[in-house]
Amino acid sequence: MTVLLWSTIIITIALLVHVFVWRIRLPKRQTMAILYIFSCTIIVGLIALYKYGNSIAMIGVPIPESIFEYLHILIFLGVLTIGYIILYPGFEVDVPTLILVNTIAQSGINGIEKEKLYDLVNDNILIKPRIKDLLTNKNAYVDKGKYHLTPKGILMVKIILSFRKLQRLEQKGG
Amino acid sequence: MVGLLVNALVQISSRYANIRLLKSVYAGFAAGFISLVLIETCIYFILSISWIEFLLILLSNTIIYAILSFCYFNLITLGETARRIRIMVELSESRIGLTLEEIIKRYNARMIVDLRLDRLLGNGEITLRNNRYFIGNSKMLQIGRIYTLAKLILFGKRSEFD
Repeated sequence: MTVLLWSTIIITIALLVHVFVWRIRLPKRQTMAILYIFSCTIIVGLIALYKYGNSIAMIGVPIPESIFEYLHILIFLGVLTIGYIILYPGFEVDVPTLILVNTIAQSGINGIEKEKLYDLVNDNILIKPRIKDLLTNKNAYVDKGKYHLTPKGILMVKIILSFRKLQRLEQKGG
Repeated sequence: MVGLLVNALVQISSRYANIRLLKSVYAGFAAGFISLVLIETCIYFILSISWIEFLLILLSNTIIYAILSFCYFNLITLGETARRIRIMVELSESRIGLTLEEIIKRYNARMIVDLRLDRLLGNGEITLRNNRYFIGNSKMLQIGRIYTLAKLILFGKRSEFD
């Protein structure tokens, strides 16, 4: 009960801070900003809970009583943070499948031809913004008009391809 | 964590038993969850805690396990559908780098649209009649509405192109 209660309270505060910051000014490196906001909120939240826990308990709200409960809350919040960071790119960018489904749904009873879909959902929408993201996140760089991977990008590709090999999947997805 | 380890082991083993990807993910998740319940039950008998406390701990650990499984699932599908990853794979195959045109020649919007239309048709999300696509029994549309709401809350707009 205590773990669920305080994890919910602290993650809600983190989400509110996140939305507030996003509405003031969108950070350039959004994932890092989310990690920073959530980490700070969790640390401050747990310290405040530890320091003022007795006062909170006096009004009948259950508080963690052992180091194991604090650890449990920390793990819960850490996992929620990672889960949100994994989920976030779907909010940040327009997902091709959802673009297609929405476009087809909007066509209603008339339906829509494939060629029209190609016109509407093109490289300017699906490819070029993602290349720009790779540059922003320092996974790639441009040199004399050619794109190259950074060491960070190379490492990421190696990990992904090794994992795909382990899963017996084709090396190229997309 | 143990549940996730069991999940991953069973899921990867299933792939080597030629079980399809989605079924292997379900098998892994189920095996991990069963191991979680078994471990929690053992702890319940060892520590002699109350039923309510046991159920609350099981609930919180189930949520942790579900989120970790979601993260693992995303790791599996990351190379399968992510455009940035595919572009990075293309760049990794070229020693001298690629121009924008070369990247688009290897991986472009048409390929993305074709692949996704095939998946959506296969799942019944859309239908094809007289060379025109129509919306089918679409769960993705509902998911899309949730994503649109999240974009409105976070960014004040429905699309990254608004």
